[in-house]
Amino acid sequence: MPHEVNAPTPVFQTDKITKIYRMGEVDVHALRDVTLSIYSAEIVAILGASGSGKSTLLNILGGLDVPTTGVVKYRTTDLTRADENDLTKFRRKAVGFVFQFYNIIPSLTALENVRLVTDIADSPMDPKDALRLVGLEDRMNHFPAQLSGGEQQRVAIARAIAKRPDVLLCDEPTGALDFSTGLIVLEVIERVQRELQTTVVLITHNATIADMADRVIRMRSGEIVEQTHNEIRKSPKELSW
Amino acid sequence: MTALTKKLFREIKHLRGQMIAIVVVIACGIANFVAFRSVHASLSLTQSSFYNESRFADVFLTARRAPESVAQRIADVPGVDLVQTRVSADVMLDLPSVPEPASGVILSVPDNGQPLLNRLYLRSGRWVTVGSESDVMISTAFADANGFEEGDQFSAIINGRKRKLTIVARVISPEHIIDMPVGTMILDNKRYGTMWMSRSALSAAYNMKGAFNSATLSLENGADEKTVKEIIDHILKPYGSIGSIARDEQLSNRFLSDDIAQVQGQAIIIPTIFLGVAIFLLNIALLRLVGTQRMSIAILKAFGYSQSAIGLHYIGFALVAVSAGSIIGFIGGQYLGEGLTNIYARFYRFPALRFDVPEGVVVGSIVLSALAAVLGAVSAVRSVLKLPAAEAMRPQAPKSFKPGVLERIPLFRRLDPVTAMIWRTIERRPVKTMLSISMIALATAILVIGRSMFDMFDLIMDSQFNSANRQDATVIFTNNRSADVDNDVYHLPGVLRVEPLRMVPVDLSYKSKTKRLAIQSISDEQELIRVIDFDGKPVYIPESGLVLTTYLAEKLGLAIGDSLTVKLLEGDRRTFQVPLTGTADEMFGIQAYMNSEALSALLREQGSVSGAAILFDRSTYTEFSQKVKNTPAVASVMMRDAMIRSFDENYKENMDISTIYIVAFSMIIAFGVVYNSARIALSERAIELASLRVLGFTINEITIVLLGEQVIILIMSLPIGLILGALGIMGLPATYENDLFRFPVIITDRNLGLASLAICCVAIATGILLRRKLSKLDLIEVLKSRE
Ligand SMILES: Nc1ncnc2c1ncn2[C@@H]1O[C@H](COP(=O)(O)OP(=O)(O)O)[C@@H](O)[C@H]1O
Ligand SMILES: [Mg+2]
Repeated sequence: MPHEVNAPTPVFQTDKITKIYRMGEVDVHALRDVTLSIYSAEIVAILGASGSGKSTLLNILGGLDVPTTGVVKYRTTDLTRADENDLTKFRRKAVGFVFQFYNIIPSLTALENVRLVTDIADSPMDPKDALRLVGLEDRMNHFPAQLSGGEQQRVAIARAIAKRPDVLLCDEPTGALDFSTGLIVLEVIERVQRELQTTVVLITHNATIADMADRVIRMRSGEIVEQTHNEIRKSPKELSW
Repeated sequence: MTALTKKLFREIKHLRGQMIAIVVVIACGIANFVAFRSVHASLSLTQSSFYNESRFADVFLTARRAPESVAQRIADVPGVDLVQTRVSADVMLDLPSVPEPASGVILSVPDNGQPLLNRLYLRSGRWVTVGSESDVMISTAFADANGFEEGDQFSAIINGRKRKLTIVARVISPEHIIDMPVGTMILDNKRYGTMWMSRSALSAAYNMKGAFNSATLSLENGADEKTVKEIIDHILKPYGSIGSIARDEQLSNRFLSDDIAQVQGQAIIIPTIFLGVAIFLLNIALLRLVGTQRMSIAILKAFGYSQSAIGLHYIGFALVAVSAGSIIGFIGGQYLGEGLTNIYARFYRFPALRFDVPEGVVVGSIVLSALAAVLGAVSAVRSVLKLPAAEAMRPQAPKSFKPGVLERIPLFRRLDPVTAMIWRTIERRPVKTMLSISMIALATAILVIGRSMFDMFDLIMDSQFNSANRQDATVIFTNNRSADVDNDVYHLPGVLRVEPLRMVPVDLSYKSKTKRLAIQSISDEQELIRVIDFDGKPVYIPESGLVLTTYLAEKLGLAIGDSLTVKLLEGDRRTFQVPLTGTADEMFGIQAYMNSEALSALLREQGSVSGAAILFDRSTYTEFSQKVKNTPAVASVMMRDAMIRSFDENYKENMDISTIYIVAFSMIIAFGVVYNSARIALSERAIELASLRVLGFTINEITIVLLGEQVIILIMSLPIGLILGALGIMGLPATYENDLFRFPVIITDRNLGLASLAICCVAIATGILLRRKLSKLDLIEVLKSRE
């Protein structure tokens, strides 16, 4: 693989991670021996059916969860040895999350939602710039209840990127949106990645969306079944589904 | 068990923290209801049955010396039923059990047995032998305090002669259910007690053969007490009466009846507060539960469960909480009631005072509980019933925040987002916020008012024993003191200073109003005995004229310079005019003072009841005590140390118990309100808080976000509570004020500090509990679900 030559250390590196949930008498294997590397400034799409373990993997990468066995490394840090405080610090400094349900705070305006993060970050951008980047400069003082779903998701993206995170982790960001709105959101993600050179991991169960990634990882039943490399990644505008 | 019942119990388990808080509040309400109602019932029942059995008198008379024939004239007054004359003597006692001199009153019992009125209940022992000069029956309170039994002996100075008395019985009299002397505030049965002796023996000792100086009488049904009293006072006037006393002014009865009324009030107020808080907590908890269960409710409705079945399901929650609380409260109420009964039994002696729970109280608690359950569930049930099945299937509409009042405040825009979140959440629920604030404020106010009683005691003790009365001992002389009494007093061991004391009974009148009281002499220097006003400052007593308490001057409609008519009630019974030259704003309502020289001049050195205030060298305490109790001219002695000690013995423990009780009481309310609101907030805002955690907020930071609302509510309630408490304290005098005593309004920093501290402890405890919950918050699980 060419990347292994060009990029000396991956952003994320996992070694045979498994995640087992105990559900009463039965064990659910959400992840089985997942080994992968994610490199700086690439967009990686994780593709797979519902229940294949995508979210579990993303949550482990983002320090929200820990694997049952195996090792996860963020650059030189071993996340599996980190305690709750270290993980919190890691999320605070390095990770931006975007979820299917936007999870923005209803009692705060768009601008305040972004400020929530810039207030605790080390070298954040101006929250207004973050909102400009997602095209919401006119909507800054609106409350979530006054915004459409796509707009709310863009607030979530602005909030995620305002701290200039090293990685942006998106779990089905368009899952709750219609086609054209989803497209705008994907465009925003792509633009942010280009302008800030952020590493993006994008979960989707829609194969078309995966075309905007540099790399595609396919999962089934908690295992990686295929990794492919897109020579040219498509711009979201060129996608159709 | 039906599926719905299973659901009920599973969810109760899930909500256990909140349920426990609610159960505790209800348990407190019911426990207090059961305890206070039952104690009230048993006290008032015991009082009235003992009064009936012992034929408690209606009117009490005193005279200097009246021939027995006067009794017949009194009996002939229309409205009078029975008259029982007797001899009463104030005596000094020398008890083996205490170093200080003690005092007491000996009352005569008829030679032919029980008196017609105020019959004695013989706790143990035998009746006095007719004519025996040594047999006495003593009050059980006096006996218990000193560990006296039948056969024990002590000495008394009877009409100037020291005599040995032998205890033959321990008795209870309806007139001395609480056995304390008139004019003191402190119960001290170690050094004061009532005794009964054969009439012939006592009248022989006091030259009262064929005469009496005290009597009791009962009235016929429908008799007009006031008229009867007036006629009798007129009859007895020539015999040195200073006025009759009706039953409701009688000391023991008054203390007891006041306490019974107070218990009755507490039986209403305390449970009302607790149950009110419980109803509020149930409402907010169940409303939240319905909010999270819209789906389940819709499914139940879709399955064909009737409205009433679903409604009952939610009343079920309230019923379980209330039943659990009531059962615990009912059991706790028995212990509390027994504890209370024991406390009352320490002060009030009845032949039998038993705690039991009357049927009415059982029924009452069941009714109260049911009422609380229904009222507690009402808002939740209403919202369930209003919910159409189709709508319930959709998730609850997202919380809609819109620019509100806060956004118009320029400063607010610059607040950090976390603070903005907290304020907007409060702004969005004004009613709930206000209710929470008022309940916590109420809890704070209760704490402040409850504690203020003790501050007041401290103040009174301080003002009485350190400012007003700086003497170590106060002696009162017998009526027939010898001329060289002053000499006797000066020669007591270790005496440093003596201030003569004079109390002159008079009728004060101005225009149509008359007041009977004793004028007290105050020396020029005011070294030992001083008049101290509410602010703790000594009041100047001019060289001539009268100084009255402000309260009395107002009651008589007097202004400084007005001339009063003073009629002496002893000696030559002259009448003269004296100007009012000053007023004293002090605690004891009805007092009159005069410069001692001015008073002597007016009296031309006559008048009998007097004594001395003495300061002595403390190293001679024992010798002084020993000597003074063997001084025949001394009728009674009050020793400052002994009084303070007895106050501590009798009241300190009760005060400590009450303090713990009041603090626990308010903290339970505050904790119930704060914890429940915070738990509900946690349930409502779990997603929000989890999102913040995902963004990199620490557990401490989200604890602040969650508790911020509660802290602001607390911070707003605290000053309101303190102000309410202060207003309550200022209102207290109005409720309790009487002729005897006026309550000083006292609000100490310590009191306010303690209240604030207690409320802050509640906040901290809630914070710790919630932080534990928040550290267990499952981020992924919360983010997956979408409310
Ligand atoms: N907290 C959990 N407890 C039990 N099983 C879980 C939990 N989270 C996920 N799973 C199970 O793990 C598997 C993978 O889930 P997830 O990673 O959410 O899949 P995806 O995001 O690809 O839809 C699924 O079978 C799911 O049911
Ligand atoms: Mg998923």
